[in-house]
Amino acid sequence: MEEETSLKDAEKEISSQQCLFCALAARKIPAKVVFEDEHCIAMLDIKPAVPGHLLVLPKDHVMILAQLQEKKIEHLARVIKQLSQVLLRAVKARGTTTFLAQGSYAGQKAPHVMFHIIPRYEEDKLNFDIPQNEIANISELITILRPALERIEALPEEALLGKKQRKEKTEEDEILSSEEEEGEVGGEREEVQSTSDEENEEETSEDAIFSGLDFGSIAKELEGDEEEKEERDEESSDEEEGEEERSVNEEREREQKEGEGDKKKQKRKEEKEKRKEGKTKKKSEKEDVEEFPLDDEEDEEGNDDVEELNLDELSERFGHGL
Amino acid sequence: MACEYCEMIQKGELVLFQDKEIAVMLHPRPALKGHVMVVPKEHYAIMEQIPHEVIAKMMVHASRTSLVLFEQLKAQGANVLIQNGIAAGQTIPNTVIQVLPRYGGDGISLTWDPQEASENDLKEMEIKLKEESQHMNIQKEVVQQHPIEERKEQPRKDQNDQEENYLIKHLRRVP
Repeated sequence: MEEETSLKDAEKEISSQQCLFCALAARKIPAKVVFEDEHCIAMLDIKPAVPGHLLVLPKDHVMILAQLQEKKIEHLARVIKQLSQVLLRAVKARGTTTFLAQGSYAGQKAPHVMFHIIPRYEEDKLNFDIPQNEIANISELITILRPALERIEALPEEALLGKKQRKEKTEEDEILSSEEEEGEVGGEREEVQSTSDEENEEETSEDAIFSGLDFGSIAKELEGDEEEKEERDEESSDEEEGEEERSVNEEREREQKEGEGDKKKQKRKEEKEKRKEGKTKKKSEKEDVEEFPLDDEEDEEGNDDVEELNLDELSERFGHGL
Repeated sequence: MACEYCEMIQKGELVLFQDKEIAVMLHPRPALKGHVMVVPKEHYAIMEQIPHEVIAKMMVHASRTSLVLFEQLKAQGANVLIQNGIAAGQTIPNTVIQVLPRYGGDGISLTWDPQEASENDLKEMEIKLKEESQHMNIQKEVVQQHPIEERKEQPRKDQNDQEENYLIKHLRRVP
């Protein structure tokens, strides 16, 4: 158990160390920073869609928004709202488009959550219009989405983030705060907070509640996708200067990951089994048998030959059309 | 209330989830199956009118919704989009956060052509926005909600001020 977590920590550390945007957020690489605080940073996009194009990122290295603690999501939203106001005034924008991509099919290009705030004008050449169709399948969607959403809304945040992930996160916070603050009062407080968080996590029932929702695998799948995409990118995108640094990083990251692949396989398998156990417990409690069909499938596959199948599924789900 | 979207929430036909302040509902004119929007229950025409705590809550629900789309509709990705202002393509007379499930070959394009920007232009923009962001008291407002940050922000702010002053002076010297 301890080995598992330490391994996971190590993995996470490696990937955040090699993330261009973590480096930018930590000011290891110079950036045009417009706003910064403890949890997030806003900087100018060096290849803007229009002048004033801003990137707002959390300092935590996360792939998708849901991996972030909710108080940090809230914080991000407040900052975004106000930066949008700043753009309306400072560059006389007539509107703003706030855009977040999760997963490469949605246009995500780096494994770090990143909001774009783009100043808009009536006559700009940007187009974020989305098609409008007649609504269909209402009852089908309602029956699928309503219970799922209601269930997710009813969960406490600790359960939503998942026991393991939550732990990682708080440890990461401690590292972050101790690095940055070197024992300042704020850092101490955060540590106090996180220990109480850990106490909350002791309740084992969360595993059972959480069984259906798996951020880890979603993020991993998306990440895997990211790598695949970047492999292709590397072949073709030598002309882009800004990308070079990143691709070098990614190469290193991949090498490391390949090295650790076996351990990872084992770990994933174990995780999945655990989740399944939790799930069966839960099934007996409630009758939500078919609520998470996607996860069911994954579990079944996970119990056969582990990684090969997953990779196939991955490339099938994400590999097309890149 | 005149807003048809507020009426839709009241009818509840398309609503997936709601509480006192916000509702998550199916988009009545969806780009694709599973196109969802997070709507404040009070009517706000533009994002700037939404209280901090409401937009914060909306974003949390957008995050949860995208998770549900990943899990339930097997989305391969998800976009979170706020079109704020008619110039930004806002088609609904109410500020909403849209959550779009994405799939390979779904035909939706939310991209832009990255433009080259000179170091000077970027620097100038940085100064301008930094100045404006201080004018807007972002830090003060954020600090109120997170008292822990107060102490940390102070030294940084000073640094920024100095840097900025220097840069502005520097700029003024250039004819």
